[in-house]
Amino acid sequence: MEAAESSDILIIREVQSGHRQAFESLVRKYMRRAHGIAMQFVQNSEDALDLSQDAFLKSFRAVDRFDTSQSFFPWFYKILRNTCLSFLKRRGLVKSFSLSAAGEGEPDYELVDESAPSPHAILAGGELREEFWKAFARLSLREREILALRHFQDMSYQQIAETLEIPIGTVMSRLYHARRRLRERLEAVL
Amino acid sequence: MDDREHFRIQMMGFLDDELDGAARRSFIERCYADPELAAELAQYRRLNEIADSMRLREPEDYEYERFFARISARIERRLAFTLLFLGLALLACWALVGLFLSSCSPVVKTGAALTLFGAALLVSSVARAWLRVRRLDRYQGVRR
Repeated sequence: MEAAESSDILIIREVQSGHRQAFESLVRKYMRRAHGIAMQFVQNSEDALDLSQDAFLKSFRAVDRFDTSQSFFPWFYKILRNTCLSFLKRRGLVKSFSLSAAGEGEPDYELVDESAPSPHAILAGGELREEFWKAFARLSLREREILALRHFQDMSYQQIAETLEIPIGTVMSRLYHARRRLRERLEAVL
Repeated sequence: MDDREHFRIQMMGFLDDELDGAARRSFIERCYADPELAAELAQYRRLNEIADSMRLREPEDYEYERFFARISARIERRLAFTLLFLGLALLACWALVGLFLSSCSPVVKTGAALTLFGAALLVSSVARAWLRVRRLDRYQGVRR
């Protein structure tokens, strides 16, 4: 376990032993990352803030059941991901799911609204930026997730594998399928 | 999976600098021998550069300053509601017992009993609905 992870576990143990205020340092450490991840699911900053707060709240309530031999972030990520998926389903924003091209057993989701994030959510940029986000919005949730973890969260394959609880080979395969679809949609600008 | 498909998957590891020395060398050799794959590699490299440069706007700092305060407020509110509910339930039981032991008119006793029964029914109905929603199939409504 890396130093950052073991410091998370120390904080969790503190929270579990009754020092609830210690949870604040975990929130402060991961709130930006949590918002960034939620954005990839809901593409709206206000909703992403609410959902990441929900996820922290759920993890706080469940903290006594957390197994301290595991890393905190993958556990929290699952809570955040499920929170975002539930939100999308409740609002009827999930159109369908299909088994991925990689032949994995778990379902994948597509969004009803394939429009790009609102212009104010995108940092100023040219046509390429707009094209990219349009193409990105048309990917399935699984494809967006793997690309977001790699490119926007700068996570290594090992970190992604731990977070998603998949083998590194599957990380590579998911990245390949996601990038292939993105490449097909951005062919004109590449 | 055919050999080229496998190679394309390896390409991702190469682009992200995740291949070990031997795999990297073997990949480069294969790329030299296959111009079509080399062209694909160039496209993926460009795609990666574009993706790496993309960022969505982050909330303002003051939003993050309020982030934990909001979570903390929600935790407090939840605790407050729990305490309030328990307190009210205790008081209601005490009032009910007191009322039935007192010498009030049967109309008052019946009225109080019906009010408390109605309130209990309402609370249990809301609680059951809440539990039902929580137990819903996570994949319900998703077309297979």
